[in-house]
Amino acid sequence: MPSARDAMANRGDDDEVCPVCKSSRYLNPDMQFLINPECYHKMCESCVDRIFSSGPANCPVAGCHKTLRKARFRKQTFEDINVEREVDIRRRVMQILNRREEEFDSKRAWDDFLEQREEIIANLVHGTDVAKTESDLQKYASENMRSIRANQALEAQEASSFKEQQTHEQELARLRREAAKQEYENERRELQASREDVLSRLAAGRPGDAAAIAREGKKVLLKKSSARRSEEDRIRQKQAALRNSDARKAGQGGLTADKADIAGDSGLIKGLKKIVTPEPEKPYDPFGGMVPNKRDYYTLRDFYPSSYLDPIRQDTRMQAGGYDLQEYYSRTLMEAFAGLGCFIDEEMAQRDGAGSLGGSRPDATQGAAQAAVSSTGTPEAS
Amino acid sequence: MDKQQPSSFQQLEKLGEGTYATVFKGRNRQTGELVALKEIHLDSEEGTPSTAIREISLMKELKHESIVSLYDVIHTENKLMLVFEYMDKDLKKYMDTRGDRGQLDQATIKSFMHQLLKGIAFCHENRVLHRDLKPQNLLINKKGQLKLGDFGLARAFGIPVNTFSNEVVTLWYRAPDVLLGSRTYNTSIDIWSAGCIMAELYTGRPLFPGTTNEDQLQKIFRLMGTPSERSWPGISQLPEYKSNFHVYATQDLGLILPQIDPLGLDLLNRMLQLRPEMRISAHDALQHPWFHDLPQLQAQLQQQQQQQQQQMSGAYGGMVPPQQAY
Amino acid sequence: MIEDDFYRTSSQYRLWSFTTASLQAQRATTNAVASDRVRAAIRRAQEARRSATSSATGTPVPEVDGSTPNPAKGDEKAIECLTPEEEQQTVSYYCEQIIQLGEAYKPPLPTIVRATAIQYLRRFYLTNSPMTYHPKQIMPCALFLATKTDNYYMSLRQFADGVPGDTTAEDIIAPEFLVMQSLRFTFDVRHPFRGLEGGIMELQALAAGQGPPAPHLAHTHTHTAESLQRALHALPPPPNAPSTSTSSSSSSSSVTDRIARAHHHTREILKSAAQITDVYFLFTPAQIWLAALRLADPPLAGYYLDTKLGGGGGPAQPSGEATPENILAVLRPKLLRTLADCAAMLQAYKPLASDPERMKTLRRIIGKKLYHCQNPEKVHLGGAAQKRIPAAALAAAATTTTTGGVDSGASESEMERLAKKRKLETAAEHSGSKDIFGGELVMQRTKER
Repeated sequence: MPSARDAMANRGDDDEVCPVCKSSRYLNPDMQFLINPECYHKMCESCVDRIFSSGPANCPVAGCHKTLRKARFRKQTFEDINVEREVDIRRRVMQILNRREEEFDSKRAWDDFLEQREEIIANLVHGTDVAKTESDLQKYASENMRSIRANQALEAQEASSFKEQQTHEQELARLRREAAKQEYENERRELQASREDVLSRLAAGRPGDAAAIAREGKKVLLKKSSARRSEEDRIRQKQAALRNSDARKAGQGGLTADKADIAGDSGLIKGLKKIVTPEPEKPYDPFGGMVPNKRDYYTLRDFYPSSYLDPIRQDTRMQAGGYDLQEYYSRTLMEAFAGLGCFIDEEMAQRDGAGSLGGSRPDATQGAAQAAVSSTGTPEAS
Repeated sequence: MDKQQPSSFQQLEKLGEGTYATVFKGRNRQTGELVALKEIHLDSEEGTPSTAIREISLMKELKHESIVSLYDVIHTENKLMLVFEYMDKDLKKYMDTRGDRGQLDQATIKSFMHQLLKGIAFCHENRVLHRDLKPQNLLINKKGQLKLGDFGLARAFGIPVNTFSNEVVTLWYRAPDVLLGSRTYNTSIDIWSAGCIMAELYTGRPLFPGTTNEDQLQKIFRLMGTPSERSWPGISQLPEYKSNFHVYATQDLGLILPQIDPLGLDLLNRMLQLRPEMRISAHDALQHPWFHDLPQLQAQLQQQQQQQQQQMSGAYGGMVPPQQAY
Repeated sequence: MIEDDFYRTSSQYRLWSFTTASLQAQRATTNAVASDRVRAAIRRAQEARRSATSSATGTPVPEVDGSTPNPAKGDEKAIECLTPEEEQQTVSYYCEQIIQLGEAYKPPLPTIVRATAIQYLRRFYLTNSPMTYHPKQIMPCALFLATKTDNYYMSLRQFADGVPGDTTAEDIIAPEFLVMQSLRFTFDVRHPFRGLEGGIMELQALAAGQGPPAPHLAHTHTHTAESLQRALHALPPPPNAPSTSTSSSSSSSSVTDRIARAHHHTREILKSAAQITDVYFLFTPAQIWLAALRLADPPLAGYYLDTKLGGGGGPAQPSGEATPENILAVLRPKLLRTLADCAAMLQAYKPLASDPERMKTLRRIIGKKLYHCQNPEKVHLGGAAQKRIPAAALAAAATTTTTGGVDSGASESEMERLAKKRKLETAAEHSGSKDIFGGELVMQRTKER
């Protein structure tokens, strides 16, 4: 691509002249023109070097007072400088307004967003309402920093994984093709073999058996192919599951961006999804759903005034030895409330009603009772 | 009804011998299920040993996936038999057979440590100290699950001015506070043991293989630095504290554990704090960033398996018609 | 509530909690089974004696020693068994004995050990009858077991020395396995004592203005540490308070003292009434200590509950969603009712020793009636040699199969079978020894079947 662009930029007429130093391509065939997106005034490379090497300076084009920096000069991509400018603007706006379709409630909201984005771009290109549009854009950018970043990262990731994915898919397809070929080959060979088998048995057998042998042969074939079919189903299911998991992973990526900032609704974009749909995979949860320090009846404090416990708290020897009063606090308070809301009468009645606990639970005593009987094993008198 | 007589268990080979019990492998004759039979000798002067009573008592209350289950208690002639869920190996044997000279791979270590800490956290949440954590008491099954076993020394805690005997925990895994004669130790002693075990998973060798109480302390100080009244207020009042302890500087654990990653090293350092109150709790340890990639790690393992299956099925004859593929 | 689920995992909740009706049914079943067996056993003993007499050629029947349960005068004289109520009173008497026995040690056994032992005894007699196993044999064993489970180390010898009478160390541990099995190997008793300490600790913090509001009430802003403190200091004095303290009630020391007094009073209730009544079977430890606190200082308990459950402003919206407020509003009236029931049960308790009339009746029950209806086949449970544990276990097997309470009827016949078997075995062991059944008993029994 860059080579094509170069070619395009260099293709200019031989009599092209630098508007600043007036030197022409005719005299200097290697001349390169550069532009700066501040004002898009074109000038040659040597002018840029000359004017901007010692630091920012004003644009040398008469009437243009923009301050330009050397670092931002670049080659022109499009011949038409207006197109060049529009593309730049578009790129910048789209980098900020980089919402994704899955972030919107509806298709309509997404379309509205696209239209709005076009309008903003058009405003900037044609210089209508520039100040307001710019400030809106900046406000949005600062408020939605996180989601913008997340979506940018996502895009980059997609771009890089796209290639990877393609090769992966090609490899998978190749494997499948090979496998299918092999399968076809196997089937063909089997068919042949069983035909031969039937034939040879027919040749060896008595004439009356012919029909039976043929029938049997057909049956065997059928059985084999049905077995294969169920095997096929199994594999197809597995592959489908695999595809799903891929899809899920992709979906998950989108969600991270969704999650980033729902609160930062600057009002610029309407119709964004309010709340993230259920997470497909929970983040690391060390306690499997249990929250060890969460309590419903009390809030544990670091210190409780107590004339009984104070001496312990001050005893460095106990502390040095590892005694932790906090353990005492948490234990006594837990025991103070464990079961406060268990209504035994009600709960036991329910349980007894639901089926006898004593019977359903193979508890030690029953087993042990039996054990004792057999183990003592005294001679039975009768 | 589920009739479980001793005769309904086929007694197989001996698995191990403890202070007050012998453990056999057993098989339920009816179901074929394997169990561990822990035979407790009753010949003591005191009736049923209190260790056995304590173990039964705690096991009846603690039901958790990271704690080995007690199925039944059976009484025969002159012994008591505890029927436990069967586990294939203890961690020590597992390391001997599976690891590379006893060392385990990163994913396995992380999974084991996570399960170990989950079991400890559950015990501590239920106010139970295990007090004897060591590789021999951690049991592993074929599914790669790790469970805490042998609660013979375990006990409840949290009562103030409650002092315990300091004859707990195999020397090598005993916390410095206990070695210094503390009788007011707490949950943190189990964390110290867990730290020692974590290091051992990496190296395949015990971290502090002391021979006597003094030697054990010395080995610890040589690595972790000799504590002082300044780094550990009140230490000089502990019974076994000697003012003439050889003074060692703290060493970097990472040097003797080159395989460990920085996050893992951080967690290990938090567990192996000399001063008990500085040691991380099991609950906090479970939230340590080192474990954050655990689900991905597990997912990766699963995915690997899946991929293998897929490739296998491909070689098998991927019967999915190409047009259906994507 | 998280704390409630925590309690639901305990064996006390799973195995030792009952409704009033199921508790009563369990006791009635145990009593009926035991009574039948006692009658059968005594009849067998009588028959045995009669045949023994007839087979003894000529010589007059040697006067069987004093321990013979039923002097064989009127044949088939109706054997009077204990009623479930009498059984319960007997057990209660021995529970009070545990408190006293524990006091006799130097130093006295910790309250918690005694309380555990009492609960062991009460749980044991849910599935066993005093007619089968005399509480005086079981009681020391339960107490010794409690020293083991509550980590109060004591050697058996040391312990036996403290037990009055000629009880030997062997006597004490003879029924150990039987007791363990009847307890279904669940030794963890959830007491209300530590919970009380936690509650008092929090009340003191509230008095000092350091009490945070309950988690689900914190966001309503009606409760703050300051408002809670003010409310606590403004409480009306307890009705049973000594008149002197009513004069100045707003100083902080008086509130602290008041909490300390309530603490002491509540603890006393927990040590006595809570142990001897059925509250452990019917309520949770949290409910028990709060009910006891209600008896000790009703306004204080009411205030404390309000800090937890909200002031009960509006009734719960039945259709409303499960907001914390709503859950608390539903919980509140139910909990107040439950606490009232529990408090009533605690209040109704009067120590036996304080009531000479009841003591007299009880002495008659235990001294005479229980003496006569003691199952003769179990008397020697603890009296024999060292190797008694298997026999005890066997006996245990005979009774503890019923612990489920619901399926107890089903296992009856089995129990009977086991009892017979055990009896045979005992007889075999003792053949030739000085036993009330005499030597030929085995043969007799064999014929009998």
